[in-house]
Amino acid sequence: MKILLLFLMSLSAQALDVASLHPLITDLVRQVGGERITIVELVKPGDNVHQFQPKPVDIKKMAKARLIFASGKKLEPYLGDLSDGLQSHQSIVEVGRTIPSQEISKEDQIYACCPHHAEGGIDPHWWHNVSYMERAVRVIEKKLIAADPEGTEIYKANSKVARTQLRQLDRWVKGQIASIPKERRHLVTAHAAFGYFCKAYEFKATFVQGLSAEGEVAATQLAASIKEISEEGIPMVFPEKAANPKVLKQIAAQSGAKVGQPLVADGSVSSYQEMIEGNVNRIVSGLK
Amino acid sequence: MTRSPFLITLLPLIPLALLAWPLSAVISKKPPRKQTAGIGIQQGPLMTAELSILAAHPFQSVTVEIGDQSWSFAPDEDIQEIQFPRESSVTLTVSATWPDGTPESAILLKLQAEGLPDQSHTTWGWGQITEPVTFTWKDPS
Repeated sequence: MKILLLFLMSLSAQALDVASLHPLITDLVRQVGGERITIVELVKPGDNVHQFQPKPVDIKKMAKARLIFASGKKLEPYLGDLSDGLQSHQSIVEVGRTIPSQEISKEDQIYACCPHHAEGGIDPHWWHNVSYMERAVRVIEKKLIAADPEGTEIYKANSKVARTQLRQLDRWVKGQIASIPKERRHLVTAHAAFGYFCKAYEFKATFVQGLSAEGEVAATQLAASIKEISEEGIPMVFPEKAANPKVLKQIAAQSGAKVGQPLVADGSVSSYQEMIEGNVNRIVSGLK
Repeated sequence: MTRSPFLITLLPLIPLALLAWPLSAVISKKPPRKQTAGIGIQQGPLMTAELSILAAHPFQSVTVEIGDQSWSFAPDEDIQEIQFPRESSVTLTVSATWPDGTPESAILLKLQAEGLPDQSHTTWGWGQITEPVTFTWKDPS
C-alpha cells in the first residue's frame, strides 16, 4: 500500500530539475530522485571527468536545475567560476565534501591522475570505497529533500533502497576479495586512482605510469617498479580504460606479469554497481 | 447588612491573590534546560555524523543517548543525523528492546562522521539491553 502511495505521489508530482557533473553521481541521484526529478547529465559515461570544462552551451542546459551535483574534492576545479555565474535559485552540491579524504603522498604525486591532483592534492577518486557511496546517497537524499520537501517520503524510501544495495555490494566486494590470498593483495595500476579502493579493501598499491600522455617516468622509478613486481611475483598489472597502456605493457613484459583487462577509474560506465563488479571481477580473476 | 471595612478592602484583593500563586510559579520557574546542555555544546565545535543501525531481528525500540541528547529509531528507520562535540572520542549509550520470544540478536551500529573514517560496533542482546559504546578517532580535527 505504501509503495503504491509513493508510486502515485511520484507520478502526480512536479519534477525537480537537477544537473550532474559526474556519471557515477548521476547514477546515485537518479536512484534517490527516481521519477520525481529531471536530471541534466552534463558529463556522460566515457567523458573525461578530469578534463571537462563547462561551455556556455552546458551552462544553458543547466539553467533550470536547482541543484547541480558535483563529485567534489577538487575533481571539478571550475566549480568556483561556475558558482559565480549561477542564478539565485541554483546551488552546487559537492557530494564528496564530507567524505574522508586521502592525500596523494609526495612519492606518488607523479602518478596522479591529472596535473591538478599532482600538486600535493587530495585523491578525488573517493567512489572506489563503496561505503563512501553509501554516505553520498544520504547527502543526495538530504539535498533533494531540502529543495523539494513534498518529495520527502519518496526520497527517503529510494535512499533506503539504494543504501541497502550499496551495503550488499560492499559485502560482495569483501567476499570476493577474501578469495585472494593476503600476500597477493597488491594492486598495480597505471595512475594513483585506486587509493581509496586499496585502503578500504586492504590492498598494497603501486602506481607505475606518470602524468604525461606517454606516461614518462624516470628510469630509476621504472626499474624500481619492475623489481618490486618481479620480486613479489605479482601475476597481473591493470591498465585503466581510456588511458594509454604502453608503459604498463613494457613494465609487465620486463617483470613477468600479465596485463589484465582495463579497470574503470572515473565512471566510463553509467552504473556504479556495474563499475565496481567489473573492476572487482577483473582484479580477483587476475590475482587469486 | 453592611460589611466591615476590613472585608471591603480585602475582597478586591482576593482575585489578585488567586492570580499571584500561578504567576509566581511561572515567574520563579527556572528557564527550560537546553537539550544539549549536558554534552558541552557551548564549549566547542560540533561534529555531525550519520548513525545507521542494522538489526538482525525486528526490534521494539532502539534509543541512542549522548549526554542529555537522545535519538530514537522507529522500527522502519535505519539512519539518523546526530551531533556531538568534536572530540577524539564519543560514547553512545545504546538501549534496545526486542519483542518477547526474540532470540539473542544483534544490532550493527555504524557511525559516519563528516570527514572521518567509518566506525562500527555490533551490540548483542535479548529482551532489553543498555550498553555504552565508545568510538575513537585518531585525529578528529
